[in-house]
Amino acid sequence: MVRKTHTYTINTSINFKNQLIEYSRNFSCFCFLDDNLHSDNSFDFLLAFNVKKDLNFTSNPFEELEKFLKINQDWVFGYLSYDLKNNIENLDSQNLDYHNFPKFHFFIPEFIIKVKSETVDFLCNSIHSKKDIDEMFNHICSLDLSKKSIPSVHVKSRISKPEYIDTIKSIKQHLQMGDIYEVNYCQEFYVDNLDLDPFSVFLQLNKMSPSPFASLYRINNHFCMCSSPERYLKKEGKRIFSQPIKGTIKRSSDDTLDLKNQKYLLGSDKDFSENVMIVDLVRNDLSKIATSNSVQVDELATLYSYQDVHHLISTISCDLREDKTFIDVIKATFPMGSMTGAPKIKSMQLIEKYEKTLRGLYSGSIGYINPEKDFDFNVVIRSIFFNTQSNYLSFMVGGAITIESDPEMEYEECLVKAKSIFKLLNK
Amino acid sequence: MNHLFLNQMKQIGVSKKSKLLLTLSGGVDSMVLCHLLISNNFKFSIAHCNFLLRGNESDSDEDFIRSYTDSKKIEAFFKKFKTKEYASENKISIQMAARDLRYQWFLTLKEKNNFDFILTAHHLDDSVETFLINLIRGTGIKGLHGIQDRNFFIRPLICVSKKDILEYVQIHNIIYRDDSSNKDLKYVRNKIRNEIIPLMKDINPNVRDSIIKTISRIKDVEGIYNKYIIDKKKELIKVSKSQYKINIQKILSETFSKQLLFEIISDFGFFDIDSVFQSLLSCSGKEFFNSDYYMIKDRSDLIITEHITNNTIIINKKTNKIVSEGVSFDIKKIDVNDSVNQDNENKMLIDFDKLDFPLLIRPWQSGDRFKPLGMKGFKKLSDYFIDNKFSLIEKKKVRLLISNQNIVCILGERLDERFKLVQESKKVYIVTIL
Repeated sequence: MVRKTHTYTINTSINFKNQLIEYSRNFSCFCFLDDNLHSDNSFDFLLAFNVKKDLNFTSNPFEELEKFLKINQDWVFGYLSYDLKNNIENLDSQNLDYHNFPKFHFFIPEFIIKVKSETVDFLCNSIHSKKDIDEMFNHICSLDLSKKSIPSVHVKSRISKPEYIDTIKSIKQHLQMGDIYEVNYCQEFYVDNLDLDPFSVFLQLNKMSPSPFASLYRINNHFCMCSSPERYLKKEGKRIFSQPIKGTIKRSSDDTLDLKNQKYLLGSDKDFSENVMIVDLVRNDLSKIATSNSVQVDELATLYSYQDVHHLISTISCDLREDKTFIDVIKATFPMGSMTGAPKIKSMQLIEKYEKTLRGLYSGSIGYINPEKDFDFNVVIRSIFFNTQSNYLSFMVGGAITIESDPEMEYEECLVKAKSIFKLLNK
Repeated sequence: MNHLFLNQMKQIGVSKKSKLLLTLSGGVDSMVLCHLLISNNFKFSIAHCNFLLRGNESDSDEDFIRSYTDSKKIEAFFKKFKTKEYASENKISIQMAARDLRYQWFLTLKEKNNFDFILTAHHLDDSVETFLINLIRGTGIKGLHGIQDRNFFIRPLICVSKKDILEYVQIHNIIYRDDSSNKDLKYVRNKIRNEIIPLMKDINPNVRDSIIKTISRIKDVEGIYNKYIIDKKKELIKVSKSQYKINIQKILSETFSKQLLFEIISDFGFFDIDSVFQSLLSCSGKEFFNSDYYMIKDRSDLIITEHITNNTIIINKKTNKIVSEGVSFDIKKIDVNDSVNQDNENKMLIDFDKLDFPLLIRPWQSGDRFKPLGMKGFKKLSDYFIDNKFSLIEKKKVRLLISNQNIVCILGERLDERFKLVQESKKVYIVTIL
């Protein structure tokens, strides 16, 4: 479909962002993406809504998606859940699934509203007249934010701290034996029977922790409120970028202490080696779809600071071979190494064995593919999942376990990563 | 061999009066069948497909058959297919593409020329080899019943062995073309024919006959299985208002509940049996979609209906008709003094001046509240549905008209007190579900 663009100007984008989220209440499927002014994307934030065409999970999702992308030269939004690993490798997922989040969803929206500083672009089919879109824009600008309070709740953990510590010890035996050298082990926190307004939660979360890969995705009763700092993959022209995060330390409100933490992280052999192992894995993944000699590490374990944490981030890039499609790239690299461990397949088997909850969309990826077939996908972490029908809320956190891991400290790191979410729900 | 052939023809119900269409590739099997038809005075025409897959060789096959049928004065149909293009367009293998194209064409030929049967030259070894290939690759009952006649597609040589065919060729001096296509499959078949079956013969010299017997027993078992499935489906699926309901308790109490469920849902294009089966044991609300059907696990039933869109419809001032997947609406604006035909309960009469455009039509969601007509206070939609005993699917089908984030009405069900017509109303906005 050839989209027509209608352009408008706004005064403050913050207010308009809130109004867009308010407007999105009217749609049972939408994808909101926000870089919180962290990158030089072609948009600061964007809302894609109303399904023109979509693709749900089938027994061969990747073949279907390949066809879908080939037929439709348009913007496609969607997500991949972690458990699609079973459609790439010979694995399965038997852990309990409390959310039933569809495994996979891609859609072409009827409307896209893209905001870059004070400019708002409506991208839509030409059957919508300028007058219709004017009406829509004015309507959005007239919306008041419905203020819904977030109840303070008791968050339960799926596994107890002693259980967590024991599991890390068992995992370390695998490390000792040489089965793996790094694995990302996650645990679930949850609340049942919760009456919650996911829109307010997302706005609050995004305010408390304005992350570069934030997103709010809705498919019917399923909501993902994502405040991710991590990019999985981006394609720009023929260049592919992957930016895994490994290495975390908490921030401090005390400047000297904060600086000390930064220095500690930058000097930590454990964090550096965690990061390098994944960089190696990503280089290997990318080499499967790269032109020869084009895989390179642009940035190695560089410090980036966010609301609650400092992270070490690396950037690995390559040129995509001309015969490789989006699907080939996904099949070569998904699930992202930073969320599995290395070697990848063995790690995923151990994750299945030691974790208690099915990951679903957690450690999967939300993003888009544009009509030029460029794409940008995040890593779904620091995210709250909520089902408005079962009223079940949960989030997962984890960390990389290596031979040098101290179980107690790993547990602490989990809590640090979930700090914003805990603050939001516990107050 | 001639009597095996005639026997089979008789069993199928082919007479000398039947109008037959022989699919003739030019290979040894089909040329033998052709010879048998001629020598027994059957009435037949031939059809030859050129899949354009083997360059010159394909064309010389066609030439060979042209001159053969000309000399024997047999009516012949020829067609060239762009097989590779068709395969890549439809994202299927070349073999599948060739099969699709071939069957489509045979069917049109049959329609146009009133053929009673379409004949292919599959023989006994084909059946045994197919059985073994499927067994090796993994299969269900459908992969083990051998090659079967389907309606008017018949296989008169199915009881004849390859050895007999080759002998017949010798005796009758039959000319044929060697087909170099499909080397992969040929490779597997040859390996089975020349290496595996001889090894099996070491253990059981009559292995071929044993397999044929096994196939025929499996065919019978399949017949019983199919009848069982049909009966069970009748018992387990309740149909009402284009809804298919499967009682969960009932299906779980069946001995082969998972396999039964698979047979049921695969009719609707759902194949992820593991997820569906798991959902039966979890709480309500798990949904499945495909391009045609929507399936949801309700409290006591698994319910399947045609796909329901959840899209929001945007209504501008001038919109007067909405046609969308599943639901259509007619919209009219009239003066309050004009008479309205109040015969239709799907008709909503709304005070036009209270509306803020653009309006929206959307499904309900949790947290929605409205003031049901005649009531003073707000009511949660979820409570309204409980009071009025809406099923999960009915709830799913509910559409709300929204003006400036307020619910104007549940379309076809209940107006909101705030938007009703009053003394001062000037214009009536009428929304009708078609």
